[in-house]
Parts: sequence; structure tokens; C-alpha cells
Amino acid sequence: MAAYLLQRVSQAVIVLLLVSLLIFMGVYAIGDPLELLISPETTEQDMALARAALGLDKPIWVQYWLYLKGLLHGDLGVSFVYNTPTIELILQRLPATVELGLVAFLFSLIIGLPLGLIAGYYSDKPVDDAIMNGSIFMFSLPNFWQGLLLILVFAVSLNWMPAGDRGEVGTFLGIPTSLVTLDGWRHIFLPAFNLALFNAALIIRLTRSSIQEVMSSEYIRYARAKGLTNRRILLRHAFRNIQIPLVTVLGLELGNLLAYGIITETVFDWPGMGQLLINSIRLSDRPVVVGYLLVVVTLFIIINMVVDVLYTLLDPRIKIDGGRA
Amino acid sequence: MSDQSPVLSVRDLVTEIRLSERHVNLVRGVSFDLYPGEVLGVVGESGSGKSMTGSSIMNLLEPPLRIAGGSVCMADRDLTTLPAEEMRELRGDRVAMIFQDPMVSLNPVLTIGEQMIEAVKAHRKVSTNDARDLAIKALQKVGIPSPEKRLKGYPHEFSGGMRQRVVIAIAFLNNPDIIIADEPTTALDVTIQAQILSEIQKQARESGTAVIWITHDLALLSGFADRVMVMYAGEIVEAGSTADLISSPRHPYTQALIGAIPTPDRDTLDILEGFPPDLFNDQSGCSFAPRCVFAKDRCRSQIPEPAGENLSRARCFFPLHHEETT
Repeated sequence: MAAYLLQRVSQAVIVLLLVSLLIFMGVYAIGDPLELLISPETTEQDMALARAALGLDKPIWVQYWLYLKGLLHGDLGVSFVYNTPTIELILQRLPATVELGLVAFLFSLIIGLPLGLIAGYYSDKPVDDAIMNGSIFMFSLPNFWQGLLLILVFAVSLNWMPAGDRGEVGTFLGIPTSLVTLDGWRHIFLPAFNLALFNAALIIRLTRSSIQEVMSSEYIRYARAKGLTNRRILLRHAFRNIQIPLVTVLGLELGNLLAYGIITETVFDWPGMGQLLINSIRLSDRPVVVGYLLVVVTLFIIINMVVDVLYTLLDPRIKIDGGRA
Repeated sequence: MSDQSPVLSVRDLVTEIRLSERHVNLVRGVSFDLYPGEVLGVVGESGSGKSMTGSSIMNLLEPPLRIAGGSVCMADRDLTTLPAEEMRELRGDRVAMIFQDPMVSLNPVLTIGEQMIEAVKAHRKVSTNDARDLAIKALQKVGIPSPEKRLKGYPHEFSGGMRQRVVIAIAFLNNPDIIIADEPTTALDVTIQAQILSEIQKQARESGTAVIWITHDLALLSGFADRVMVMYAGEIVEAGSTADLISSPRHPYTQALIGAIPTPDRDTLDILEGFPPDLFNDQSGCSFAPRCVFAKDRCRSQIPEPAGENLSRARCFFPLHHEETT
């Protein structure tokens, strides 16, 4: 177990190093941030001063080296634009994004799993056709358009929910979150639902096809021969077996929801990290872009590790050090 | 044996496959009785409809397969018309089944204990602890060491023979009247085969359970089954007591099966030429006629009806040994 963890952590460090290098070079290639930050009337002299102040006068590999040294101390650099430490900017906005992502994830499970199970169990019956056709709408209509429609119907016409922004924020275990207030839930419902739809459609399709495959297996036939109820066969014998492929996809989805809910955040004016990222890319605010993406990659790495551990819990045949018993 | 009333009566059972263009009968008018405590062997080659007959009795057919006619009666109830919930109550309780491959019939991600306990609780209102005790006793009976510990194990931690023992233990858990064993030893080593065979025989004797033993191996049945039915192309072509059937077969197909059993005094095996008929093509006459060395014109134009009494009959116009009895 210890050896396994050590191996995983060292892999994670290598991945982070590579990603940071790629992003650093990528953002460097986009252009000189000074040209965007400083007005055209500035003198050559002031330009040089500013360049030196931001450390942009050094060769790119020296800049990267200095950045890495900072990283070791937990320093993600200072934003060129806001002149505040990147880490503060990110932490400010992280809770809003994480809570939106988590609630959307929850919604996609609540919608996706039951519908997928029903569609898979009654495969090729009318209810299956209805669910499958519905899911086509869920993943083929553009996300922003679905969001606008939700606002139009539930916020503008029916006036049940607010059209955007985050609700009242309370604190839970020291973390500022809007999930502890009713107003917060009223605000998060529509964007989370919007964000959940696409993923729910994926879950429906994956659950359905996995169930179809499992239901024709010999152990399901045997379970029926034992006289078990259909309910138990579906929910225990079949569902337990499809959890392994499901968890793989759910892990990726959770990462996506947390990191890239940018469109939904824009449509619903949600003060999350998405907006920060878009602005920073536009202004070549290199420390923020690199810092944000490193946070995202770390999130994915953590989720992947959790998924790997879940495998061993879900499938008794898989051992944690990778071998099959 | 025939003075007892049968525990299972199958009459004119027809099982068909429904394809969009047409319906084809895979089991074609099978009739037999099963008496309490007997071992009835069903022998035939792949596609002869023997497994399909077993699944039909259990009503385990999935579309496009379905029972198209006939009856399967148990204690005056026709299983083919039983409501789904009543059939479920019967399955695993009065009629249990053992499948061919123990490597795939147990659910890989559930513990042996759970799979045994649920089999009890599906049919009886007992506490989980009582069900566990029953499971432990059942595992002991089939010779699995330290059953309390093994209940927590998963199927992949058991060898093939051990898994089949678990499946046998599950089959006997609820003291069924009938066990349908569909080639339960085919996937196992020969030494394990013999153990499994005697295990089922022993338990069936103790509990008075009747066993339908489906196999393609007539030699296996010879020392073990009370009666044998030979199936060919979805029909029972011959039925009789095991000793009679093997010593004096009346249907040419049965004789061909016996001729294919290797014995020490035989240098060459008699090989039956050809293949079973394709049931998707219409045929006239006896289904075995194209492969039968004794076939005459009548065999190719008319369909023979089973001749003989209920317990011993053959479906042939020109039965062998019908005069020179042994």
C-alpha cells in the first residue's frame, strides 16, 4: 500500500511538471503580456522597468525555473493584472465553482442512473425508446442554449428561480458556501441542472448499455433460476457489476464539471473560476492561467486516484497494486 | 417407481424461436414423467434441444424463445401458464437448477455468503443469521472445509470444482423436489467430475430429490441414472431404463451413441456420419433418416410416432432388438 501510494504520488509529480512546462510555454507563445497591460503611450524606459518588475526580461527557461522554485513553496506567482497572489484569486472563486460542479454531479446521477437502469432493463420497449430519444436532446442541443431556455422558462416566465448569480453565502466547517442557505439553493438549482444535463445523458447511455450487456450474462440467468425477484437481480446483481465501468466515467465527469463549467458559469453569471480563466487568457495573465490549470490537473489526479481505490472496493478481483487475483 | 405419482409431468412440450420471418420449433413435442427420487438422464448432441427442455421447464426462456405449446405440470399446476410471481416462487425453491459452467454462474462481485443467503431469503421468511446457518450446513454437506470462512470469500477465490460444489449446495438449500442439472460436470476435470457426480447422487438420495441430468455423455449416465431419454433434433427418440437402453438400444441413433463410447475391448469407434438436421429447413419423415444406416423409403416420407409404453419407448419404424431381447 505504501509503495503503491509512493508510486502514484511520484507519477503525479511528473505529470504536474510536464503540464506546467507545457502551459508555461504555451502561454508564453501567445504573446507579450506587457503589450496588453500597458498603454501604448508608455516610454521604452518604463516598459523595460515594468518588464524587469514582472521578471519578464529573463530568458524563458530562467522564468520557468523561478516559477518552479516558487511552486515548491506553494507560491503560484502574482497576477500581472490584479497584482494579488494567484492562489488568493483562485481560492476566492474555487468554492463557487466546486459547489456548482458537485451539485451538477449529484443532479446528473439522480437523473442519469435511474433512467439508465430503466432503459437498460426494458430495452427496446417504448419506455426505453422514450428515454433514449430524450437523452439525444440532452447531449445534442448546445449547453448554452439549454441554459438560456431554462432561464426563459423558469426564471423569466414562471419566476420560480433567479436567473443568475450566486445566492447568499454561509459557512460550513469554515468553508464559505451557498449550499447552507435556501437562497443559495434557489440560485444554484438552474445552473447546476443545466450543467448536469449533458453528463446525465452520458450516464443514461452508459448505464443502459452496461445493463443490457450484464443482463444477458450467465450469472443473471442463474440468479433468475434461484428465484430472486427482478428487483434484486437488477439492483444488486446487475447494478453491482456495472459500477466498475460507471465509476471510470463518473470520475472523468466530475473532473470536467469542476474544471470546465465555463459556459454555464457565463450564462448564469456564476462567480466561479471559469470567468477568471477566460479573462486571464485574454490578458495573457500567465501566473493565473498556469496556476488555474495546475489546480485543475491536481483535481484530476486526485479524482483518478480515488477512482482507482474505488475499483478495488467494487471488484474483489482487482488488487491495489494493479494485479488481478 | 411407476406406482408413485410423478413429481413432474411434461406433455407435448413445444419450444419455439420467433424470428421476424418465421417461427421454428426447437423442442418438438417432448413428453415425459419424472418420479420422486429418481435420476433421469437426458442425452443428446449439441442443439438437440436438451438444454432448451430444461430451460423450458424452469420457464427461463428469454425472447425470441418461448413455449409454444404443451404443458409442464407439477402438483396439478401447469408451469407454462403460471403467473410470473408464482413461477419465481417455485424457481430455486421447488425446482432448482445447476448450470454447466460454475466459473460464470456465480456473480463475480458478490460474496458466496450473500449469494447463498439470498437464495434462502427469496423463498422463506428467515433472519439473515438463520439463513447463514443453513448456508454453512449446506457447504459442509458438499465437503467445503471451514465454511464459515468461505462464506466471506468471492467466487474467484474458489477452484472450478469448489464453485460447482457451492452451486450444488445452493441447489439443495431449499430442499427442492426437482433439480435440473444442465451438464454440471462438463467444464470440470475428470477426477472432479466423479466427485461432483457422487455428491449430487448422495444428496438427492438423502433428500428424495428427483434429478434431471442433462448431458451429451451417455457413458457418464450408465452407472448413475435410473432412466435415460435420448433426444435428437428436438424430439425424444428413445426412452427407457438405463440398463435396457444401453444393452439393447432400439433406436439407431441410440445405438450410434453407444457405438461412439470408447471401451477397452474396442479398437475403433463407430463414427456417426453427417450432422443433425437444420431445424430451420422443412423436413419430411424421420428426422434421423438422413444419417440412419437402416433408413428405408417409409422413414423419409412418414414421421414415426413413439412406440411402446410410457416408460420405455422409441420413435422408430424399424426398432432394433425388438425381437431378440437380452
